[in-house]
Amino acid sequence: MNDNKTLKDIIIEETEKEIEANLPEFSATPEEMLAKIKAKEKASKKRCLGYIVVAAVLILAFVAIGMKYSDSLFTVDADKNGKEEIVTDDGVIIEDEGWGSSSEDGIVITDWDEIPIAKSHVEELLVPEYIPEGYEFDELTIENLDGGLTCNFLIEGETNNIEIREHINSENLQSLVINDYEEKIECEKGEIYIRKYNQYKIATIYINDGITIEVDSNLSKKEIEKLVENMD
Amino acid sequence: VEKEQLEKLLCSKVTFIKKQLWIFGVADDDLEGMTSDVLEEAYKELRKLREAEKIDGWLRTIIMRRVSKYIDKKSSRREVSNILKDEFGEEIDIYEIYASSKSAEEIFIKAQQDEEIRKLVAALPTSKRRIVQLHIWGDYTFTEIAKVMNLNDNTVKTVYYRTLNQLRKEAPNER
Repeated sequence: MNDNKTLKDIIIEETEKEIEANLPEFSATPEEMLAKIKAKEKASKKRCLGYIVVAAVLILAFVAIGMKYSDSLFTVDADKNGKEEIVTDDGVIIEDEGWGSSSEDGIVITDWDEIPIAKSHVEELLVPEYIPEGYEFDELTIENLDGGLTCNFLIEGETNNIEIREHINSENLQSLVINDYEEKIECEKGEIYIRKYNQYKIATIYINDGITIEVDSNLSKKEIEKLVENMD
Repeated sequence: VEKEQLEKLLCSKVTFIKKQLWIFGVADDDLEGMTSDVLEEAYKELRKLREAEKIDGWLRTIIMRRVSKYIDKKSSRREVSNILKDEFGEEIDIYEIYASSKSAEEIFIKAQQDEEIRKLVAALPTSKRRIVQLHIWGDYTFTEIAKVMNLNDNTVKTVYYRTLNQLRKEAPNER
């Protein structure tokens, strides 16, 4: 026995002995433990990358939805290919957003067979019963503008289109003064004022107090007259 | 230091970690898991270790943090505190100065009393023995021990000096 041992020495020796006698064995070696930790970290990084990818996809999806929603707000009346059909209780097929308080709201009808349904709701609507040869009905857009309705028929031709705009009960009619026409044609519906704009002819007709029709086309005067007379 | 070298160094320190945890009172069943936790934390922060020589102190910091959480989780801090109170039969919150010309742990023990003292050390109540071992064998400061075990600094000091004083009385051959 060492005569110079202090209490501290004895305690250290006793602690070492105690540890040696009682320390349990581990199931894994230090290298195995570290390997497991490394594998865990690798998996965690992979999982983390997965989360980042999922988050990125979600962000992109939200952006795409946002853009789609944004498009629907601004292009309702310009969309020729309505994506969503809503059939009302009355059987009116409304494409896109339908009516609303906003001036951006409107309905688009692309099927000619649905025109009578629109007519039943908008009694003042005059439908072109005669469509010149080489032209085909494309769509009818009905918009709620300035307290009145504007109904636009778009009739597509091979090279040119015919656009018929009907202003019904529009306050703007009061300010519509036709004094720069080139020609005036008398027909059953009233007087047709024709003026030229580039290669187009713009024909304006007052139907009655509340309705004005404008026809943009490069049709002949006879064809314009026939078209107007067959609007019912 | 190359990462590979550091990893080897870390592996060589597993027994060190294990011993430190055990002396802090981590249960045998939890020892491997806790060692693995310390190893994992150390591995993740390995790049922060600039000097390999300082690995022991660096690991001790991680160990203390982990043990503190462990004790907290096990709710054994209160137990430790209560055991200490029970053993002393009184509130221990006043630091009693046992400082003499020689510190208690440096007293010399006569060879013939060596075995007797060893038995006395081994027979110390766990909480007392742990504080003495942590300070003498583990080189942990009173503040570190107090912090990990959620005890008052003065309580740790008092327990430590009273225990050593008790041992010194058993071996009254101070020179």
